[in-house]
Amino acid sequence: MGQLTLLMQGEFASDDTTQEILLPAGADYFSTVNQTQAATTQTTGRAVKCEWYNGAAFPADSQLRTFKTDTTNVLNQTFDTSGGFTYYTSLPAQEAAVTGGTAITAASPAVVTMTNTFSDGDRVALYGTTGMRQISGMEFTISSVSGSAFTLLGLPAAGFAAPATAVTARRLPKNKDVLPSTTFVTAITQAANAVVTTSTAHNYVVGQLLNLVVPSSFGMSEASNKTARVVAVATYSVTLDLDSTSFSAFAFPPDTDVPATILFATMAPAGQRNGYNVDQVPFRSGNFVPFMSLKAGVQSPAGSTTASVGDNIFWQAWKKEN
Amino acid sequence: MREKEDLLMRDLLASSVSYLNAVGGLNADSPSNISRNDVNNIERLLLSNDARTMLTNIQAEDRFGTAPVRDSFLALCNTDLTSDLQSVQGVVLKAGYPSDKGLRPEEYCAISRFRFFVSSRGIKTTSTSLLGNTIYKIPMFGLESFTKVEQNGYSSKVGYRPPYAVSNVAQNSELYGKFAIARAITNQNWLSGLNVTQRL
Repeated sequence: MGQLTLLMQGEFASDDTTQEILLPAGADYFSTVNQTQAATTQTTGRAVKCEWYNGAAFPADSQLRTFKTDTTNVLNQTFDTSGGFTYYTSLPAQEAAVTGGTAITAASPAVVTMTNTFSDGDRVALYGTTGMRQISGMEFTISSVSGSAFTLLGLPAAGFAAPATAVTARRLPKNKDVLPSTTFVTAITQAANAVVTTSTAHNYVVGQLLNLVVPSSFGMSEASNKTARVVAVATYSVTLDLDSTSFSAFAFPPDTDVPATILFATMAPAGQRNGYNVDQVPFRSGNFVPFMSLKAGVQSPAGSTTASVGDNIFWQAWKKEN
Repeated sequence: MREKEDLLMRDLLASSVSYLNAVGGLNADSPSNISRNDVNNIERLLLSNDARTMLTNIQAEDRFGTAPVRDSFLALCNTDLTSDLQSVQGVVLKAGYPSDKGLRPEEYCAISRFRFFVSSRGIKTTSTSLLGNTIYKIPMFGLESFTKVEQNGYSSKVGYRPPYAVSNVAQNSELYGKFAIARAITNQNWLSGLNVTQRL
């Protein structure tokens, strides 16, 4: 085997979400060290070092894991076939649909009941939403993921007449091909500075110009074709310099109007002006390859569970010389 | 290289444009298959925002089976939709244009105030409609709505790296392509489009 050359290294604080590390060239070895867990012991011993080697012996999502014995500093090692690293040399294809979802609550935020293998922060398309067809085809960023449910923080569905009784989901790449991208609007307040809620965690910045498209079926048609500047951002919303005080209230059309009613209300970037934020210039590429995906979790390379959010993870990517 | 540039521009239109679901079709899906009413709705949107047409009209001539073509906006769609385009009310297929002067092979037909161009690489999203069918996005736009900026005096280049530059043992050479284009939407109000499904 040839000599390894360090490609890149860095560190991040674990936040219980899958991490994607962009790499400038092909990697042949990747490792993470959980600096925080290395300095302590836990009732259930946790991973302190995770490793990946390029080759058939390390299929997708696998890892060589070094972990501590319960309550001691004694190290153990094992090979996991899940919860580890996945190395992408091409953009992930649209994944197969996950069917069998049985409910979407009419609540704020909405909760989907579905057996799944998703992760926090994943972007999914929901369709076949029986009883809630007005959101069928929309994309959502999901959170609070368990094996049987996940939450749609970007969907305030409390005003919906009824919950959905079936749903199909399809996981999409985390970003669209070009950023900033068009987002689905799920709420607009009536205020001096309108607050617009998006179904996905958006990528807009303060100073950016955005254009709203709001069909008449969504009530607040006065906001349609308005261009406004972003004055504040939150994960699932932006505040615009748009006075919507006198506008009609925003509301999704009822399920019974679908498929005859025009969908959806959307928001799209208007031009390249973004307050001179040179790190977030429109219209940049949203997906790069190759990249390494690190799963989150107690025994995973991207860090531990919610109780230990903030663990310092140090990582390195190496390349074999010819 | 040029095809890749086109794909990069396609990705811009797929990611950063607001599309409306077609509702005038009869396939009971959401979005429905394309209809003239949906196309007219997009024309109204563009005209309301003072968008300008990109192609001049083709005047009628005394040729049987032909019809005049209005000054038009552009629409780009996937080749999967060609059978549906033929079924839209009032469609004028390219063979029915009064003149074939300057027509591109990719042009397919004219519907209302739009001239449709088709490509096998047109935007589509597999199986995400209400009934689980593929959704096709059709960008529809007027003059100067988006642009491609060439930086460093070129849009793309093919390059060669000799063996001594690739590695210390000078064993292999490399061929590479690089792109120096920046994409931009110049006026979001002059750009719209339809989400459609195929007629079953």
